[in-house]
Amino acid sequence: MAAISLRKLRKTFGELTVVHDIDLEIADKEFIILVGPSGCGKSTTLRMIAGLEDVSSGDLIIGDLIVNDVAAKDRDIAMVFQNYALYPHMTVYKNMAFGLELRRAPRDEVDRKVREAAEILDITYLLNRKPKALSGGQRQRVALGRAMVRSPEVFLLDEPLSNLDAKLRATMRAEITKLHRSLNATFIYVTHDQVEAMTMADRIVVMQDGHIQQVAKPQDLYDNPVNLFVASFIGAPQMNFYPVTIRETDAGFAVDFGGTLLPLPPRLTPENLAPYEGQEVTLGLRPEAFFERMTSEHDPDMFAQLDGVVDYAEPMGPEIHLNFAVQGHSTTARLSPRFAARPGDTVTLHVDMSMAHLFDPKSERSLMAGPAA
Amino acid sequence: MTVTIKRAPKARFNWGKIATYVIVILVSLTMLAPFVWMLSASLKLNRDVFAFPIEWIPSEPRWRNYVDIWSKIPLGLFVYNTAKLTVIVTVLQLLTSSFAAYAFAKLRFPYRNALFLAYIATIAMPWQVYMVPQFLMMREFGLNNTHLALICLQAFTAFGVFLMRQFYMSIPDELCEAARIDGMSEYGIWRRIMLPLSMPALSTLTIFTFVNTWNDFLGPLIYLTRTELKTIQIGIRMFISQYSAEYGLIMAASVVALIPVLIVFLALQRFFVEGIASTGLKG
Amino acid sequence: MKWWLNLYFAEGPGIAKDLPRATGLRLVWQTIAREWWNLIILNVVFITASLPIVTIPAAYAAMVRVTATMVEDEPCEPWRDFREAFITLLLPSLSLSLLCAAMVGLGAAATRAYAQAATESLAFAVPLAIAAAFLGLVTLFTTFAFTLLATQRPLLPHLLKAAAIAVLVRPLPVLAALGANAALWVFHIAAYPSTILLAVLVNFSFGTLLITFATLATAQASLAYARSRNEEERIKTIPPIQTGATASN
Repeated sequence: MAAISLRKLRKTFGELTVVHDIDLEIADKEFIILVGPSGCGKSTTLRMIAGLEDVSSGDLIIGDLIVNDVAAKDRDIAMVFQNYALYPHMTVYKNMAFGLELRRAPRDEVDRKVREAAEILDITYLLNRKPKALSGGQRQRVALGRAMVRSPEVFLLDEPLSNLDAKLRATMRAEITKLHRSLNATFIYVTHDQVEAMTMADRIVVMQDGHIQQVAKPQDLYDNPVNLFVASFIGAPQMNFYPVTIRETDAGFAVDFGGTLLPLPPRLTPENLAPYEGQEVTLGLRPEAFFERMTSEHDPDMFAQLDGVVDYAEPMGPEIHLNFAVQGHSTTARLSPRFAARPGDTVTLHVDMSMAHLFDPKSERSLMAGPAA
Repeated sequence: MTVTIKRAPKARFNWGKIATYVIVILVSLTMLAPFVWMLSASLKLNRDVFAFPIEWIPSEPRWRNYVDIWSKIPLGLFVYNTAKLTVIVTVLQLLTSSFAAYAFAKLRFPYRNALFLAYIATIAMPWQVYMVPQFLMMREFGLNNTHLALICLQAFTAFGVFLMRQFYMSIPDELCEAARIDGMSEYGIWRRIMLPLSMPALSTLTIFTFVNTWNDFLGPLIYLTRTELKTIQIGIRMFISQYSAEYGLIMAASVVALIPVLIVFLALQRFFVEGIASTGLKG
Repeated sequence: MKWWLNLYFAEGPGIAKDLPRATGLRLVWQTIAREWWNLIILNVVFITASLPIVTIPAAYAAMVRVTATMVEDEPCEPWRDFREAFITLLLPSLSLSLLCAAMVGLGAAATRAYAQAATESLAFAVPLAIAAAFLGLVTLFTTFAFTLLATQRPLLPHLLKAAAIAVLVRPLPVLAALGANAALWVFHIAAYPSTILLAVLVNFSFGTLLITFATLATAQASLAYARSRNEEERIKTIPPIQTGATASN
């Protein structure tokens, strides 16, 4: 059992508070990813769980034990570091065996576990080599192997893929996911790369400035961001934002975008919207909410048209990212690669407003999420 | 359109470079001259040492000087004393320096930086300022005329701690953290991770300490007055009597005293040069 | 000191996964380049363990065991592996060494006697040749027997049979290794005392590494052959023909 609870966990360095009283429940065997821009406190949180940083206040509970004062080596955790932190003067075998040997595990057991882990990670041929000769990807595998051999309840991974090239990163993402399934342990993974977070996590924790912004399953996070930060952080290309005004019409609520009235999806109930009637709010539209034309699958009631002046287009292969300005607001749309537009052209695109998000510009919270608790 | 490709003109004869080399060679010769003079004087009779003009290569080299030095004074004993002191002091300094440096570089404790600064500041205090009170203190401890006094005084060095700390700072912290999670104690990390990785720094410190201790004159002069305790550097003074000085023998003994220093330096100089470069010190 | 740290922490070129294993002298060279530090430790440990004289066979066998790990490119820790092998092989290696010493002594004595006789009468040249050949074969037999004992711990009959087969199957690499050992020691003695450090630091372990190279593969194949019971199994145990002192299984 290795459920982990953070209760009002806080970390201060002198005057500076890096982690502000965060609460988080991590279930046993869950793959949870802490994501956020650099300096958001995600690594510090991880290091507190590891026992490498003292907890300033609050409780850190692993299993059914408050481990605030338990040394790192006694927490039944293993950690994979960003720069791998392999012992350079020891062979790969020794690197992996070291933790077990320090715990006085019997020789043959150490040997068996090391070879098992090496087998799984496909690094048996490296066992008698020193880290010096290994490439980044190979070092990464060894670092994973070193964490695996102790079969800990909790794996902590601190940006383990950030030093690898893009192709290798994709492979390792898949391998780490597989590893999580086969190892049957809790994974806590820190990254600033939202692609890693979206592809691997059971749940994502978005952090900013030492606060948890939202905890949700990847798809939920994408579909229902609770505030502007999460909405803009998750998703590439970024969500587009526009200042709009809420108006009540005969057909219910709508938003007024520079004179154009845009319908609102039924997700946004009159209770959500009524308090903002006549006020300015922020409209968020993901790049995939834009279409060249409507098809029969689309609901015509939810569609509106927007004109824009093309800035530039980025062909991505299967799609094209069209950058254009709508009433002076820079916008990115994700369109089919056949869409032809040259810089300076005026284009008319269809917008699916059922994908619209609205945010309170002051509190930055989503109108759907209701007022701040 | 055709482009005519021209060859860039070959560099002209570089007079500046030649001048630099000439100056450097001249300076080196000036630096080497005393050593050559010492070598040549060590093969001369006492009366020929100061003959002018200097006879750089003696016409009748007196190899007997190198035999006589061992019998006229107990030079063997002096070499043994010096070697004993030097080896013990060097080993102790390596241990204490790297140990303290590990704490200053990789452990967090209150007032760490202030303590480190205070310790480093002692480098600025010349030994001559406090050597008399220190001597009185040692005499109170009953350590006058013992090797132990010199060993106790020289086993700790702020400079060594500084040098080692600078090196440890450049080793990634994650290495220590990984070791902590693996279950190693701080002593274990120091011994099994830091020491094996710090060979270049240790070599540099070995040279500094070895050369300094071996050549130390003032320390043994103050603390060691009995002949059987003397080191080679003060032992050589026995060739100078009230009425005469045996310069040929003094030079021969000096050459002998130089050999171990040369060996240690040549063996470790690769690290030494790098060490100076990395700490920004001038040798 | 940046260069030193880079030596440790800079990313390496990586190691190809399906690189074919080097053979022959290239493998020897790779092993030495990789294990030179362990070889030095091993040499010092061997000298220490040999000090009580009677432990020399065990120390040698333990050293063969450690060098065999090196040859097979398996992770080895000279100090720990040596101690374990030394303890388990203490008695077996002593008895084996007595047996081999008796045979080698017999061969040496006979060779010496016939050599003296041959100076007087040429008729003794034939028995001298036989005795010398016997001495040579017994020496080879000893090296194979120790390699077998150290790496496989077979039953005595299997061991003797396998060592005998091995001598007949592939004696040349071992002769070369023994020759290299002899050359190493001749050089040491000729240049004494300036080579004293060489003897203390590398001579024994390096020499043993060469012998292990030369004997290991052949010894193991011969043992598999000696252990097999019927003709069919035997054919399976014969390894494909290799050139030079290969040590793969």
